[in-house]
Amino acid sequence: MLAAATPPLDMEIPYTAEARPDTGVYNAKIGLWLFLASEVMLFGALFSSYILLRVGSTDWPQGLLSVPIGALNTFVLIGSSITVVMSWLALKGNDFGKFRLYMGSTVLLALLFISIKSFEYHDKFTHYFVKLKDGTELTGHIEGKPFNWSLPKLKASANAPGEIAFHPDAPKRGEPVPDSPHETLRLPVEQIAKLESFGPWRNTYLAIYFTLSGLHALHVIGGILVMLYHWGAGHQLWRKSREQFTNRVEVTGLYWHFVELVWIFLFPVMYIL
Amino acid sequence: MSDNNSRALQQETRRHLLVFGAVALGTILIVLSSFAPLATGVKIPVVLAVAIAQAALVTGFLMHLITEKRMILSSLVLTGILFVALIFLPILSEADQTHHFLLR
Repeated sequence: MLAAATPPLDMEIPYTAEARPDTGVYNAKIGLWLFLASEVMLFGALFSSYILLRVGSTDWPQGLLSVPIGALNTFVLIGSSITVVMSWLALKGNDFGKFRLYMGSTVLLALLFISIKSFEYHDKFTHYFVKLKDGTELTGHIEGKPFNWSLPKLKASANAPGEIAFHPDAPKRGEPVPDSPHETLRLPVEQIAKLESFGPWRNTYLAIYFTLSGLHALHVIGGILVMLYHWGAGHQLWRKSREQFTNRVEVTGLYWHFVELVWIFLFPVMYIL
Repeated sequence: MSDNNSRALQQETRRHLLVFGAVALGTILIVLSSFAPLATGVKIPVVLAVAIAQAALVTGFLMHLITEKRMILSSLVLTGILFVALIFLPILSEADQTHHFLLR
C-alpha cells in the first residue's frame, strides 16, 4: 500500500514552465499571487492596528527616526526592485551573464538595506530615557554607548559604576535651550529612578515601529536567501529548463516588488506622519 | 533572438527605468512634505496620495498587473475589498477620535 502511494521518481510537476489552460498562467505564478494576497492581509492588519493606536493616542512621538536615513533606505530598495526586474529581462533575452550581474546587485542592495536598518535599530538600543528621583526626565546617550541598559541590569553588573556620564539630546524646535546644551551630565546611579533604552517597550509608537519594520526586515532576509539560491546553486536549472528558471526568477521578482511595496507605505507612516 | 524580441526588451527596460525615476521622485516629494509646515489633516492625505501613486506604478508596471490574466486580477480585487474593510472599519469605529486627530 505504501509503495503504491509513493510517486515515481521521474514524475514531472505539471505547468511549471507552460501556462495552465484553465487559468492562463503557470502554477507558481498563481501560487505566489495567492501568497501575496495573504501577505496583504497580514500587513493590512498591522497597519490597521497602527491607525487604531495612533488615532486613540493623546501623545504620539515625532522625530524619533531619521528621515534622511529612511529616505536613503527607500532609494536602496527602489533600486533593488529595478535590478531584480532587469535580471528577469536578461533571462528573457537569454543573457545569463547579465542575469547574474543584476541578481547579484539586487542581493547587495538588499544587504545594504538590512545593514542600514540594523544601524537604525542599534541607535535606538543605545538611546536612553532617564528619570531621576527628583522627577527630572532626560533623553540622550550614555558615554561609551552601552547596548540596552536598564537600571536593574546596571546595578547588578559586577563593576557597577557609581555614576554615568550622560549626553542629553539637543532640544527640539520650540523647546527652551539650556545654558550649556552640549554639557555632559554626571548622573549618580542612586539618583536614577528609571533607565531604559528606546526599545519596543519604551512606548506604543516604538512597539508598532519594531513590529512592522521587524516583520518587513524578515521578509527582506527571506528574499535575500531565495535570490542567493537563484544566483548560486539554483541556476543549474537554467541548463535543464530555461523557461522554468525564468519563471522562478519572475515569481521571486514579484515577491521582491511586494517587499518594496510594503516599504513604500512604511516609510511615510513611520518616519514622516 | 529576433530583432523584434530585442526591441521589445529594450522598450520594457526603458519603461522600467522611467518607473524607477517616477517612484524615486515620489520619495523626494514625501521627504519634502515632511519639512513643509502642513496641518496633520492636510499632510496625511498628501503623503498617502503620493505613496498610493508610487504603489500603483510598482504594481502596474514592475509587477505587470496592467497586462495580467483575469484569474489573478479577480483574486486581487477580492483582496483589495477585504483590505479596504480592514483599514477603514477601525477608522469608522473611532470616527469621533479620528475627527479630533485630523484637526490637530
